[in-house]
Amino acid sequence: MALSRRQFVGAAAGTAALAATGTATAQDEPDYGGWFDDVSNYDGTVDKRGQDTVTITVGAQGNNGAFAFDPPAVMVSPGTEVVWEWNGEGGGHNVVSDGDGPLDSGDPVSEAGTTYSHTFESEGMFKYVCVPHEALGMKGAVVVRPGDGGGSSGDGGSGGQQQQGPPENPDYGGWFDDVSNYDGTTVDRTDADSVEITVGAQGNNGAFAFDPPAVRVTPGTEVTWSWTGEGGGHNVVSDGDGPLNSGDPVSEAGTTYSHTFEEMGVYKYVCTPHASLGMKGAVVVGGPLDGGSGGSGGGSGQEGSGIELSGPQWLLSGSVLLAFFSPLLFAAAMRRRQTGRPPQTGSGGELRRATGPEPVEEAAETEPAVELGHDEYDPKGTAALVAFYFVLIGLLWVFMYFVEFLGRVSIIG
Amino acid sequence: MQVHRFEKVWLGAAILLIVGFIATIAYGSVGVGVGMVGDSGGQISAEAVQNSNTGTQFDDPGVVKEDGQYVVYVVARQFQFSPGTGDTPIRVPAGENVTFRVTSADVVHGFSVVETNINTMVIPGQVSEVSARFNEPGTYGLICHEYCGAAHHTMGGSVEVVPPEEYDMQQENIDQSADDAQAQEGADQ
Repeated sequence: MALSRRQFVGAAAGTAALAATGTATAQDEPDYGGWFDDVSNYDGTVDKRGQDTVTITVGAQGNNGAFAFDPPAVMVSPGTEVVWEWNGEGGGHNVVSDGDGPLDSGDPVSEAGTTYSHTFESEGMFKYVCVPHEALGMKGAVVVRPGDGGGSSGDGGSGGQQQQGPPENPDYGGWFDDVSNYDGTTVDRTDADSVEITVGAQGNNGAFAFDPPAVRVTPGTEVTWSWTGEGGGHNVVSDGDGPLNSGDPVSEAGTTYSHTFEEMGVYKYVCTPHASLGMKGAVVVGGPLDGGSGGSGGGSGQEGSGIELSGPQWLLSGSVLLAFFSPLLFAAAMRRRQTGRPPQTGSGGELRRATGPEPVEEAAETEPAVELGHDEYDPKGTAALVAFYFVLIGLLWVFMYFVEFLGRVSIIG
Repeated sequence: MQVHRFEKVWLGAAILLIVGFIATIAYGSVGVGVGMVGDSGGQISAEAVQNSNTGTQFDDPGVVKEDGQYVVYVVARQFQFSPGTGDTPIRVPAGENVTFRVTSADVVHGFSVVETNINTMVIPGQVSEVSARFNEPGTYGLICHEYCGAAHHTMGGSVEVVPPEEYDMQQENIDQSADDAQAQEGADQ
């Protein structure tokens, strides 16, 4: 199936959202260029502009031990004195600029109470590490930027958020608390052109359920509700103001009601007569940027979209599976051959109880064609072979000991 | 029993080979002087090493000259050698006997100078002492080859062997620090 219109729309919307968030980030959050990718305690930049002195803890919990700076990323005004304060945990730490930079606290020290300070006069981004623990993610950055702090962060990002659609695990606000057949997952059907929801499925102590109760679709998808005819009269009506309204409850099997969702959002709906029993559902339109790869993937397995393999991957996994089951295939083939053989009749044609493996008739020993006496071996050939081995061992010996071992710098005491 | 003369030849050759093997090992240890790592380094408190209050040169690790001999004091800690790691390589002169005295501030480390036979465990509480002579100037890798923690794979450094005449130029501060140490010892006494 080629890229359908809706998928394209969804992808385009996602890209737009990504671009929107990207710009928003560039305004508020400095671009560290992946510097904090492996820093476990990084959670945004702490804005401490307007303060004269800012303290950063060295040896804070993080990165699987006491191998972190806290806060790892801090924004200060020009002229601020930043003080690093050791808490004595995690062994010896130091504060050294990444590449050329002003920070260098010297050799690592571990004593609690050690401090190192630097006053940042010029604007810029100052990345630093603890040299011994850099690989563990003990990294930090000080961003010097004029301004007053004052929490302007997050304003620009919200526009992008709305375009992006509901998050991967939408917060239904307790909507499904009393729905027995909702297992916490939103079935991901963002891959399908049309989605069918069963009305009158088993659940809520009877045939009072929508199946699946929660489903995620891409904008432009036609969702069809299909009546099973069980559980009495049902309808599909939006909770509060909403686009869904199938009218009066009907009970006939085969009844359908459909609606095409164009706008992103979460659409909650109920079966009016059975809402109090828990006959409720929701359609999530629009998805997180990474599509159905998240927690909702469990539900999508039934449609066979769980695993996607390219040609070579199919070939590889097929070969591995074949290799894995080859003993079974072989056994089956052997069995087939054996059963295909005409039954061996016993001496009297009667059933014999097996008493163990039947004695195998050994091949008769044949007389040797030529018998070689001791002195009739070819001694020269054997001697040449042995001599070759001696030469080989000798060469390896010389190479290993005199060239490889003594030729190197050795411990002499 | 009749033994073919060829067989006699290679029996003799095999015995000769074994004698040769033993002779080379004897030559290596007696003639060339290849040694083993012993306990000559003595013991030290790892906690004191960690807190830099051992009262020895380990408090300020580096190269010093003791009794006319170059001695390199190295502290290994998670996850670096000081000196050795980063932009502080161990600098030693070529053609001189150099003694490495290595100890750990925390856990078991390794001290292996790549492409040489200098290779020892570094045990907290113990000073590993090895001597060597680098005849050719060059840069050698230095790695920790005992698993010491999550970032063990990054723990390394380098040993720079410089020509002795160039080394003498940097000699001043080394001699000075050694003199300082001696002066301090004198003052202490």
